[in-house]
Amino acid sequence: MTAAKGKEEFTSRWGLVLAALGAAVGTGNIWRFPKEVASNGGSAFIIVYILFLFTWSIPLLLAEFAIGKKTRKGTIGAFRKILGPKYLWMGIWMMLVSAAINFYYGVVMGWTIRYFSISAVGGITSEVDTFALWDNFISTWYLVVFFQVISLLMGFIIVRFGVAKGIEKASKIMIPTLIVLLVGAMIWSLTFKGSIRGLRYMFWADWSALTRGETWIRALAQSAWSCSAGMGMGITYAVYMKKKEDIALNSFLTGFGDTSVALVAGIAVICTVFASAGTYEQATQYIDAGGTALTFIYLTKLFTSMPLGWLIAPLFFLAMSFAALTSLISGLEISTRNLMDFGWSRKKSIGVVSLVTFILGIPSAVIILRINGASVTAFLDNQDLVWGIGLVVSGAFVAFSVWKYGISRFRKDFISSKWNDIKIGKWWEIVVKYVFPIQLLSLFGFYIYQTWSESSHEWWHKGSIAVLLIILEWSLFLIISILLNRRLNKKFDEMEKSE
Amino acid sequence: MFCFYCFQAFGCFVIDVQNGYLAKIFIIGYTIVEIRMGFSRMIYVAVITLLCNPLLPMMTLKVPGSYSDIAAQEVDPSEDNVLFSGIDGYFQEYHTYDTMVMELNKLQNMYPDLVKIYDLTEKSDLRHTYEGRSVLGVKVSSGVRNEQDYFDDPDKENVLLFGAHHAREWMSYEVCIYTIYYLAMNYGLENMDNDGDGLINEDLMNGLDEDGDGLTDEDPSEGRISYLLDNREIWIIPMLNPDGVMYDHTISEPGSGGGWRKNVRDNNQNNQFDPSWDGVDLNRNYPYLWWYNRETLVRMDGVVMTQDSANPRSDMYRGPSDTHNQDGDFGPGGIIPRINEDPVDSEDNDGDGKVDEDRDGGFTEPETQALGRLVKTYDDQGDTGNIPFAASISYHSVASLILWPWGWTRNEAPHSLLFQEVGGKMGDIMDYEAEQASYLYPTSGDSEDWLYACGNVIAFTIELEGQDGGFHPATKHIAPICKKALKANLYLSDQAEKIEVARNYYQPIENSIADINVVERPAVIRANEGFRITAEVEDIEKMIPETLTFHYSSDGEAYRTAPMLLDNSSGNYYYSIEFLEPQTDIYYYITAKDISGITLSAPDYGSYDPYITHVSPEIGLTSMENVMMFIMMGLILILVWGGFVGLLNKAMKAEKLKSSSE
Repeated sequence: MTAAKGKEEFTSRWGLVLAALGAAVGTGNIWRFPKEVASNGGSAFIIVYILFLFTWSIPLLLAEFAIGKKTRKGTIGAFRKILGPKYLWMGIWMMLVSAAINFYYGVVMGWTIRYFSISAVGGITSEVDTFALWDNFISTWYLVVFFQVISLLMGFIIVRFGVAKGIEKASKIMIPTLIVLLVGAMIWSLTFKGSIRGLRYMFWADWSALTRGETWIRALAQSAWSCSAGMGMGITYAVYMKKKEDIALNSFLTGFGDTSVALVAGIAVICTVFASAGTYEQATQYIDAGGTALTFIYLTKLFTSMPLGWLIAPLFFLAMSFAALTSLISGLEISTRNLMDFGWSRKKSIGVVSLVTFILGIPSAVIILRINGASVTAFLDNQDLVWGIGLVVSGAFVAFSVWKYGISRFRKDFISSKWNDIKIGKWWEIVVKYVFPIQLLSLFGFYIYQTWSESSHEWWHKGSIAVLLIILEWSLFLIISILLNRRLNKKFDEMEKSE
Repeated sequence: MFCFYCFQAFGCFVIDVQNGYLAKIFIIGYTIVEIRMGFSRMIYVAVITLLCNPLLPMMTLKVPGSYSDIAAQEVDPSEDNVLFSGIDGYFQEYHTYDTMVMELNKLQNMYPDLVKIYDLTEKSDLRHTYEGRSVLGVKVSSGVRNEQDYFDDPDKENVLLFGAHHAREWMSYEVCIYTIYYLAMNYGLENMDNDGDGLINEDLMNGLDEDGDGLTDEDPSEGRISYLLDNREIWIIPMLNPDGVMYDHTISEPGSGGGWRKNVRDNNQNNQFDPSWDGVDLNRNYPYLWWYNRETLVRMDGVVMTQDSANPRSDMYRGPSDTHNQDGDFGPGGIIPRINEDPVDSEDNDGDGKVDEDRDGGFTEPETQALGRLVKTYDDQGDTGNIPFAASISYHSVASLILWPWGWTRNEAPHSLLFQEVGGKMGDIMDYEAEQASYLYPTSGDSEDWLYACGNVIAFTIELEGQDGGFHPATKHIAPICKKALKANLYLSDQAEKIEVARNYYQPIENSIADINVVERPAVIRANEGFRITAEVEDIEKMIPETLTFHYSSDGEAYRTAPMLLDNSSGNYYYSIEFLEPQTDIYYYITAKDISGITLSAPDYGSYDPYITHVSPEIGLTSMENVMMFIMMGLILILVWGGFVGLLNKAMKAEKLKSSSE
């Protein structure tokens, strides 16, 4: 089984950019960004966030694109090619982390489809107790699994059609639609009288936030997460770039596009909450809750009380579903690409990846704890925490590969090309050399510190246990990666010989 | 003469409505502010208050044809017979017993739901006074129309105000009548901006210039009166000694001193009234420690007077000794009744296990029996309809003092701290000295000691001021003195509920009950601002914090309630209202339960006189904060969205270039 069909490629630049944007824009843009902005200084936070776009997300994405484009291999092959056989395991780790994220992300996407389907048939009315609706849904395992399967099926079908006919086409439809829907929701939310309070809540600059380390670190974390930097997406999608494709401008487009969508979603969500929540306290409480509570309990409830809410609700959840799906397929493709590098067909690869993603996603779907009368997605929350931090390690590996290769050399060999529409100057080297280590250490330290001091009611988030779990789960992945190192190297050697 | 509303000169119409009632009255060119039905000088009138219109010096009064029999006359403010707007008009001359009875009856007819007149002497042994009059007790409270006689609502605290123990102290009954008028006429009124300064109820009737504008009490709270009548039962006995008052009216003139003090008991039993022989000092005729301070007192100024005399000719005759066997017991032989063996002194003098069961004196007069019967059984025959009072004021003249028990000794009363607190405050309100009664001169058998010792009433005596003429000030002083006393009456009524709690603790109110102070309370806010009300609670251990409730209403809609939230950093409680409609008024108040079970409220009268904050129409870009916000928002959106569009543009151009070069 060889790649007989010839080299797969994005048919146009827009296909690549929209796919990358699709990977970057996820549910976090909608349910995490508003909360982070609002509780960390408003405009001050956004400015720091934009700063990190230049010192972390875009440079890292750029490095990923460069690696992928140059090596034309998935994460495993790419690391082997740049750093040598000894470091192949880093690529395995990168793939495993993105795969692990996809395990539960399939479940998350299932939620959004479920809510889209309920709201589309008018099932969310002002009489509905949205808390009970959510609680009942996530504690009904077969429903959750059912929607998980639907999500993965969609992902499977898209990826199976290949890069051009599947991922590119889907992104070309979904991302513009998503942007239109969110812009529509934003404009709708701004028509309400209370929205000005929402804007003020979001954009009022609390400059004192800049004096707090937490603001900076949270902005960095949000930026890193949101742009999918370190995920391996950049490496994987770059494999399908045309030879004459630009990587510099496209990195910027991805970073700015993601931030633009986050701002649109942020305004839409915050203004909706402020326009319809009963009191200021309620509004801030809803936004601070963030995540699933904000989306599936509060926003769902608030939509019912607003004019045109019956229409906005399904469109909003459709946008969420699109955001989730485009991220899901990028994750599926990362693993699929790696398997294809070992000579598997796309059909087989995506089949196996989807099946594994489904099976290993089941614990996230069905392990639900009852805490204080509410159902808590315990396993999923743990996975989100563990692999969220794991992503920082992946980013570190990318940075490491640049350092190891030689930063100036990397820029000369990998990045600078006549095909780039903008020139990447020396600033990139300075950022990677000096700013990256500081950011990496503080980001990593912050995550561990925060986990350690976490006093949430879920026992697995509690301090040492959570850190212990992180170490355990990471060790497992590291051991797998290192154990497979030699074996996969051998496999690569054989394949190269046969070519 | 000044307009009630804007303090400018105005005309006032008095219309005799004996033969009709006012349905529609038009006064061309003027706006009628209110029509108060009332009466003055025996004429049943409507007092019409008009908004001033300086452009129309002449007023035309047009009455629809069917009311042509209504006589209207314009009152010239310059004339001596000016009728004042509001209640002062009824207090331009001293009342007599007869005019008082007539006016009270008319008040009862006009406000049957608020005013109920009782003949308290019906319960006395004689069933009337010596000259056949009645001691009238007026109960002022909402809902009295349909209630049983002597009904005592357990949810309403009782306050007792009474005057004219002493016949010549005319002001002491005028202040009581005035208070009845004020309460009845102000009940149920909308809270108004009485002084036209744009603020509502900013200066309560309490003798203080709360808003610091140099005027006192210029914008009293209408809601306060509704609150009081809905939550208190105020018993007012204006004229305890009608016989004596009527006699004094035959011998005294306004602007003079002297006069008659006692009632008209026929001490020498010659069936006619002899001023040199007859009468009992009613305020020495209460049984508690009756005739205790019997020695002669030489005052600092050399005047020799007995303070409590057994001599019937004395001005301070305490009444005859008691001759009844109240407990119905007999001596060792079983034949001779044992009388007066256990006088009223809170001790079991005869060691029979019962306390104060057979008094040696006091309550010999129908007048004191009337009051005693209302407050507490005055003998052992049992009684119903006794009202437990929280607090009382006995009005006298002319020492300008606030007094409290004990009167019989200079020892401090058990509730001395509470007396000092409440009495001191009333002293501030009336600008009188406040002290324990015995420091004026020791007395015994007076109403205040008896009410306190035997009725558990926080009982005060207020000695009104003399002005020119001592006991009978010139008539121009009647209304001002009445208004002064009214403020003390209102204050005591306000405090009645808290007094009952503090009484149990033997502490001043401030140490007995938590206090809610609203610290952050803007008068006007912009519609786009968060409206946060912060309350500080003093003595929070005396309160149940979970019961702190915020009540608010937009433009008089039904009140919504919400629990207040604890601000951990300051320990204060707060509530925020968001999403305010511009051009509305937010009415709000805070309530909480005290551990003693009473409901505290800030402001004091809750929904009756809530705080009001106006929501101005100003919205959006006006505040500096919003300008800054929009500038930042603009910068960020231009940077991010503009940057994205710029990058897209650049990419598109690049693509075009590539496709053309290929």
